[in-house]
Amino acid sequence: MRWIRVFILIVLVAMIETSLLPHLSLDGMRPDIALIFVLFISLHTGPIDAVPAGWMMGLAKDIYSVGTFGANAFILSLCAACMSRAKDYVYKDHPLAQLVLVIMGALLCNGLYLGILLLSPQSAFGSPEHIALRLLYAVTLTALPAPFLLVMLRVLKPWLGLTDKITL
Amino acid sequence: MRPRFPRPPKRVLPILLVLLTFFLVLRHVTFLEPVKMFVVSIFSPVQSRVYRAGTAVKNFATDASGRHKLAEQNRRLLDRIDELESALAGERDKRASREEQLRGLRAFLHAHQDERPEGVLAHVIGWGSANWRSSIIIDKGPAQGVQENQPVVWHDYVVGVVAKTEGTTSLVKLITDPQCRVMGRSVRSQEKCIVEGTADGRCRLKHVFDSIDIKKGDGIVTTGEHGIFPRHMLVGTVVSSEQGEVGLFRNIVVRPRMSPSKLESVLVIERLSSRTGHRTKR
Repeated sequence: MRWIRVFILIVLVAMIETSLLPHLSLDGMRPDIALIFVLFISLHTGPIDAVPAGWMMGLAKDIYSVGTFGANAFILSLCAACMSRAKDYVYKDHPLAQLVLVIMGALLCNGLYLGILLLSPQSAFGSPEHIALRLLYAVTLTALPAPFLLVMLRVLKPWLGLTDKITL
Repeated sequence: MRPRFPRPPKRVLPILLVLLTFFLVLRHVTFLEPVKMFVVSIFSPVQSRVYRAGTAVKNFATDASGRHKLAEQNRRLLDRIDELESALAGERDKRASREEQLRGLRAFLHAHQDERPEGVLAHVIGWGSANWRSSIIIDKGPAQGVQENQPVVWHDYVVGVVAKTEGTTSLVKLITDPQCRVMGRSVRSQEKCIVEGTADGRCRLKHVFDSIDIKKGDGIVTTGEHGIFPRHMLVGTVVSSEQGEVGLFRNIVVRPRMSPSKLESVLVIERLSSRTGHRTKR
């Protein structure tokens, strides 16, 4: 994998996440294209490359948010590890399989983030029903554009040096 | 001949990364915050341009929808309604304060002297990236006098508190963030309360006893206690007030006056003072 190009793409994704996506928010929740990017890397490489890529993407998210530093890095690296393992059990190029993986990833990421938020001191939660509704928004908004974005990202496979070679 | 050490297996790096990050999360480390803000300040010029481009695209899409005129009129009317609601809440609050003064509380009279905040006008250049947190990035930092924990307001309502600063950039924690709290007071009943953000994207009143008189529709304003926020700044409006499950406290949800998606500029208050003739830096 070409790490400098991956890094450039991570910076670009972070910029889009903090500048453009809030325009598409629903009840404050936005599509998580960082997760889609990590899924894309995980689908085309093994955990040895996917985990550091997920970690870097998470770190970029942590830099641009308030709260526990490292939370997103931990969650996305864990998510990358799970995804790169799970892809061996599904037909990874099928849009439905990708959609299922995105939904699972979004549920995992948001669930873990809420768990970390719960453990953080002085965090307020509000009504569980509304949190569940926001979780649904987050998962739906991430899952809907995922198949299209994954098709678009596939064009970048040679540029990123992704060869579908399993390294573990 | 140099001794050859066995190379660690490739899988060690990912495992180390995950463990290191898990440690960071568990320990709530803060020593990396300056590095974080340094990176944000490096990318802030690019961020600012991307943000403007995004706003321009959004505006273009709105214009192209064919309902530009109607949308514009609607936006103006909604803004005007918001302004009038804010003004009304502020005026009601002021009237209530004056009534208190007439009852002869000299100390209270002293506390109502006009506070003239000194502030820094800042532009919003981005939003925080985490879905469950509420924050914005502004283009002013310590170089312009912005410091951590300074209040951030706009017009006559509360926006949030400066969380991190570096160079010419700051990260502002909004009042809807789950870890943000503001001391407030009901405009109608003058009951004091603590407004806190929640993970469900709204605000609520913390530990309000069942006997306290706060109802749906009440405006909540800042008290000015502790000298952080100026007095009479609108925080939001109570949208629901229900009996809590435990029975001792009420579940009161507040709709914040601040709307993150509409914010383009904010005012960071450097300090409050009762002196006259202060100038606000622009």
